[in-house]
Amino acid sequence: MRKMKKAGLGQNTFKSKLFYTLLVLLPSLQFLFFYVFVNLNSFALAFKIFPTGIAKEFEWGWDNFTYWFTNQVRNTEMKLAIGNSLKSYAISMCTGLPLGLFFSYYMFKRMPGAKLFRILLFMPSILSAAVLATIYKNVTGLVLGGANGLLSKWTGEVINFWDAEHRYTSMMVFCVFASFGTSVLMYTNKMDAIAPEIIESAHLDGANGVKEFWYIVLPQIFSIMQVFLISGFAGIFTNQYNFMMLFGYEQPDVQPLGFLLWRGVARAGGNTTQMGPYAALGLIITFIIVPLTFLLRWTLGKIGWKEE
Amino acid sequence: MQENEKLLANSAPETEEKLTTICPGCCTAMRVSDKKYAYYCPVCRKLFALKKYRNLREVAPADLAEEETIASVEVCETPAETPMEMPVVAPVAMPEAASVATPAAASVATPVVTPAATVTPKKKKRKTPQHDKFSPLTVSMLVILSVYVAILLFLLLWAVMQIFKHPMDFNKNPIWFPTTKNGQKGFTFVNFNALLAFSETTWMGSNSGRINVGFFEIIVNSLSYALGGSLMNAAVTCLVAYLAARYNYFYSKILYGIVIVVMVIPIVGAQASEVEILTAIGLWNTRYGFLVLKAGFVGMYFLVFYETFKGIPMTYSEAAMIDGASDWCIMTKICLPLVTNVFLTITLITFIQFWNDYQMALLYMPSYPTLAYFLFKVQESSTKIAVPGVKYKIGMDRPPIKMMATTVLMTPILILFIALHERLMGNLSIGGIKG
Repeated sequence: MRKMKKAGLGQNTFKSKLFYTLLVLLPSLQFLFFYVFVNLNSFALAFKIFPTGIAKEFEWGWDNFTYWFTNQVRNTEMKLAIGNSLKSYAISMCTGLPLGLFFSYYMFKRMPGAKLFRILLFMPSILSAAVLATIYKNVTGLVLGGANGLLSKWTGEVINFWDAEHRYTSMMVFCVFASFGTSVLMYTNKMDAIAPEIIESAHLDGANGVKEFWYIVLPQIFSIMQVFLISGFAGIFTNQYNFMMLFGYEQPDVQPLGFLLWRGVARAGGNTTQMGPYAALGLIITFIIVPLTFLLRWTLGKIGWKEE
Repeated sequence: MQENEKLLANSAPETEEKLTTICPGCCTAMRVSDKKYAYYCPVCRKLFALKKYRNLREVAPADLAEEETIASVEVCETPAETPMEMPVVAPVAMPEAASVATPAAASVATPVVTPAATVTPKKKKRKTPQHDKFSPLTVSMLVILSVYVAILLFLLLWAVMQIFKHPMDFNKNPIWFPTTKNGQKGFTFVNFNALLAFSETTWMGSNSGRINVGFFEIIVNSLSYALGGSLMNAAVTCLVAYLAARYNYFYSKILYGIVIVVMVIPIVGAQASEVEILTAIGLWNTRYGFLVLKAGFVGMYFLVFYETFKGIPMTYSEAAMIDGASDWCIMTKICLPLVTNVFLTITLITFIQFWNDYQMALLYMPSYPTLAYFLFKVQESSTKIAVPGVKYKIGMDRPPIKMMATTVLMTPILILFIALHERLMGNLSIGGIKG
């Protein structure tokens, strides 16, 4: 009989080892090349300067980093983008998170229409952001707002949801509107795992809906909230907030940093010589966001509720 | 069957600790060993498998009588008066019984299961008292949710109402279905024809790419991008997770560690480097380049597969190994069939993600535009285009044309969602799939 270890196959036979090696080889190489090497190359690209504009002729230096601080136009663009990203994250957390929690609680309580609401809330998550954004922009821009819009006719004033004054608000309303699906689903699935006995004993002790939500439900789902808070924070500077479908390549005053980086790479169209500054900016942001993410994780672990 | 019972009875060691549990088949209370993987219920005459401690719960003596009464009245015609001492057996001890029990065993033992395949005890239904149902909190939520749903449905319905409307009629009738009254042109397919004309005459590619791409080719691109990407990603992830979970090598621990570290550390702006490397090796702006890029295993779905494979008792593989099965045979004939549901769900989720994604297609394969990318081009275009059968040129910025493009993009996904929403939503939990 072949030798077996207690946990796992883990046989020391040559055949098993060969089988394992053959299967794991290609995915490992793929990871090494497209993750490790790509990120090392990204690091190198940030320091590459192309004075002649030819990809093979380059020098090493800090120009790609200083570019964002010495070039006045770029510096302003970067600061605006960072500000927009931070503001958008704060808005998403302050509105999207509590609303998502309340919606989930509503479904957890099996209130009227809970099943239907659950399905419809999830729908924006499976539809392309491109689809919803296009519809939303046309409805708000042409049907409700704009010179011939219904609201403009009713109020007698021309209401434009996409002018300089309102476009950021319109963008964030859409982002919050389309953001509930996955989070509500996760929260409700977690809430469903709460033992009914706990809820019943709280009722016997005289807890009302608000107390039940605050003292029982929230602590029980805090681990999920933590995941959303941390992953949202880690993605602050990569999230694009559907910018491209709402504005195309225009309106730099409201663009988030994620879009600024993406646009730079997309516009380069495979031309390496133009990508250095974006690799450098990505590197700067990574060095800022990684320790902050770990700090947030540690803080939430310290101050948050514990599931008991 | 009686022989089986005797065998089962004989194989249960007396010294093992017993827990009280409820049979998932007939809800009979019984005592089972916490050391074994399967047990036999004499009431419903079925074998059930369980992972250690999973699906076992201790019942307090005071609660036991109530549980038994509920179970015997609702589910089983044969009421169980007292908790029974049940024999317990590991599948290895009785290969024949184990093979019978495998399908049920898989669904109970694995942490990821579809609702239809699950054999778990009936959950105690939560009853919300009436006074608690309509608290100020829930009533205000009802109002907000109703408004939310009304807006969402209005947006989708409005889009559908525009697709058969003539672009020139939109100014007169921006909301409702097209009509033939007051000189309006009624239902028409001119918007779809405009999309076809646009796809054949508009620059789509990259700096070095082709100029015109037909609508049919765009659909083929979308399908190959979404189907190829999702299958490749799910297959590689599943394979690596299998190796990491089932083989107790040091490298398996490294694989697991890699996934955790990569998920925790956010790296910003590596796209420039990715494009540079793909260009250097000749995979940028090709169909296959994207597939190679997506053939990675890092991501939260690795953890889902990993937990699933960990949940399958090792005794299955060991029994097969004793019978002379090879590693390949164990993987393809025993373990992979048990995770089919998980595989399908993850493939479906990633398919939807890829189908809807326009940015990656634009970045990595700009000469092979997908439907989502095409919609973006339609959205940002304002050029006037000649449409067959129409005397004058039509501006692509007309909402009915844009809505036709959105409808073409969202229809397959809506059909998938309507058909499979139970699978998509029922299995989703943290980490992507309910564990």
